[in-house]
Amino acid sequence: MLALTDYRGQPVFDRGDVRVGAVADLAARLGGPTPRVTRLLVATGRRRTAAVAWDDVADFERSGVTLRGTAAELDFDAGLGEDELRLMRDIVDTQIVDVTGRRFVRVADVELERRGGELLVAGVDVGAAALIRRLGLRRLARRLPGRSVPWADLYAASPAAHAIQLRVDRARVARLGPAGLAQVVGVLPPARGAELLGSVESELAAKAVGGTRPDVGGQVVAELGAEAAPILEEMATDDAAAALRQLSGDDRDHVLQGIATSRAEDLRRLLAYPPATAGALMSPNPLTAREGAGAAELRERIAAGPPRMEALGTVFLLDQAGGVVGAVSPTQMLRGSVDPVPVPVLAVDQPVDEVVDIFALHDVVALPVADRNGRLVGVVTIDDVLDELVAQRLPGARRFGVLAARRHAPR
Amino acid sequence: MRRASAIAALTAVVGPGVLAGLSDDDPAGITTYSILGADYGYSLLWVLLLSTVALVIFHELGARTGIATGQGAAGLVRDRFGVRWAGLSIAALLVANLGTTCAEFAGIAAASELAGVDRLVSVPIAAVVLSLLVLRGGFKRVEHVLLALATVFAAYIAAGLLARPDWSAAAAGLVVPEVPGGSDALVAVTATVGTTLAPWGLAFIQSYAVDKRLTAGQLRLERVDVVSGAVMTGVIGFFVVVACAATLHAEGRSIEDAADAAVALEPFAGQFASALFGAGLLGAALLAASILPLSTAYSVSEFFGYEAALDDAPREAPFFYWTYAVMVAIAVVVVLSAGSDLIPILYLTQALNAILLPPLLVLMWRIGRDPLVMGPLVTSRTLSLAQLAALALVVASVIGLGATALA
Repeated sequence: MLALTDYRGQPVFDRGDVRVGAVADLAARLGGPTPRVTRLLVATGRRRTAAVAWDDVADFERSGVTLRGTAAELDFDAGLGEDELRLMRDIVDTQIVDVTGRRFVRVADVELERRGGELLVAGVDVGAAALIRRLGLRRLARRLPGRSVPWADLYAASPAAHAIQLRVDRARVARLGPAGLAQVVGVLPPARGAELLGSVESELAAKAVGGTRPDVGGQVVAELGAEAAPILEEMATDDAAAALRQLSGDDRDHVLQGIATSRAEDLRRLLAYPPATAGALMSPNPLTAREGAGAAELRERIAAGPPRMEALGTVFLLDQAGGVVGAVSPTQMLRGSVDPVPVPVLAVDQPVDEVVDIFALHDVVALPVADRNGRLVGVVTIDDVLDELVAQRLPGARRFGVLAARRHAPR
Repeated sequence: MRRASAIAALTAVVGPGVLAGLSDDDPAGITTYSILGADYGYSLLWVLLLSTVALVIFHELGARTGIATGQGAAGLVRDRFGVRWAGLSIAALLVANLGTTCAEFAGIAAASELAGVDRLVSVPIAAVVLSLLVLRGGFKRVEHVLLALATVFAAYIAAGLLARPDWSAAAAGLVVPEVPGGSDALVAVTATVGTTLAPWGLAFIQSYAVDKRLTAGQLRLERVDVVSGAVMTGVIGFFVVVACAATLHAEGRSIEDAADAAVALEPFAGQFASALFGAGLLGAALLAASILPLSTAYSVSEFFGYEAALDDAPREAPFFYWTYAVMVAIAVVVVLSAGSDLIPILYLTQALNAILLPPLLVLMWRIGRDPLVMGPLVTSRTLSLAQLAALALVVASVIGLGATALA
């Protein structure tokens, strides 16, 4: 394994052993699990840089680099291809997301590997040892362990690398999966997170946004503007509403205009509830049946609804006036019972802190929400409660504490 | 409705600028401004005015850079200029912040000694309690109390007004740039620059903007936040100088210890001046003594490439915890082993801030002018010239100080 920074500044000779300059950088082509080094960039005098195709590099050693051609043949005008990036400039010292280790770290060095006549980018070193070695303290660095991340496990976040990955390395982005995408979006600046989500299928993007914290999801939706509509359509209604809640009124209307009418109506209804209440947390359209319904009818109800986790199959039984009589859980139904069990009913304007307490007290996974007249309007499920608990420890509050602990961010 | 939502949007971004501004009125800042007023009357008010303008200019740059790049200052310098420049700037930041942390602990010592409690008791207790609060996450519960205590310094506004200052002399001092002879005056000038535009504040405001995930669309509001924070610093600083000029300077007294500095509050608080000053000093000192090592620890772990957070275990974030612990320990030792005179620690460390500023400002300026890094938020030509002018002010004060010190 070669360390890229060991080669920077090493002398470059032409085939007649005439010194033509020093190693400035290496360019590599993205796409596939291990990028291939395509060019050597040579810094010659007068701040000029020449690009030499990798095939024209005869020897690449720490003591020096030898070219197959002569100094007269150096090409100073070749730009990089649109799928090429410069390893020193665009990778070393920039940030990457270590998707497996789930951290946002900075690259201390690039690990290269010889294979046949080719030079491949195997991964990056993110350890303090590599950094200390670059500061010139080699002896100390040798005593510290290295920390490498294979290229396949990382998402490069520097502007150039981010752009190329989106353009030519879609496979890498899609391979991150919804949870990985949510993590990457969570650490990227909002505009770049939006670009990333805009580049994948809306179903995958929807799952990723649903997995981010509401403030992050809201920023991404705001950045995407009208393009967010297909993503919001795929999201669970309550998650979509939570993201939209972070937007200003005008931005929100702009996004909602692109969404199918009935869905937009549902979202507007949820958004009308004040933040930090049960109404703001709930999903509309819970599973319901009239009081006295039989097992067959209940099964039919569950089968008819969309297969969403947050519904959790709990059916609420309603009286004539639309009030909640009780709930029938899926486990009950499996045991053959359809007797409604009384459950606490949340009020739409109930503060979220009380909602969290009630869930903890009753050990339940879903509770109905009723309006002032006692009519059922929605359901709060355990994942909503979890989202709320996560939102209560925003990183701003973790880092500096002071005044950053605004629990329900912009109102 | 429209008005209400504008206010809501502002409260969402408010914080970095106002907080960094408020924290500038720390014990070191109050002491420096007091000395400026007590020793030189109104004549050096123009330095404070220019420093406040420089504060607005560079805090705007810091916040904008944070928004554009999503990176803190230490990490960004490493990204653009490599590990050596980043290593140098982190070293400068460490030295400056260590000096100011010593100043904050000196503030704790001074406040407790005003109340008759020996610093051998108060300083170690404060260090242990603050560290536990900050590292165990209990800080959130007390920060508002400390901030409220620190706002006691707003009493200087009342004291300044009640002291019947010579307003025409104050106005002249604000606009006529003259420097009294002697190296002492240049120390006062340099310390004023260094306490107003402190290195740690620059790193802090950028990280905070990143942390709050502010977006380009929020930049306009963030600028309001930055300007209000800086103006708040400037206004309080102005009244500290005026209050001291009208009382201490008029009587020909200088500041030897905290009790002297408290005299400036007498026109407002009478016999309670000392108690009021002590309470404000303690609140501001505790607040700054918690934020400074924390902010430095973030910068150091950022340099090493690990964005640490308080909920990481010490094993996961060794640079973070080591930096924090070593800084607090050194500050405690320095303050306990200093003689009875704490004013030099509170005051001279601020001149040190200014001396270490220029390289950091140059790096920040260059990053701000780089369209590859900043994209559409790149610094405009006008703003860039304003930044260079502010940089020139800092460099001039440092060179002036160096020249008189050598002469």
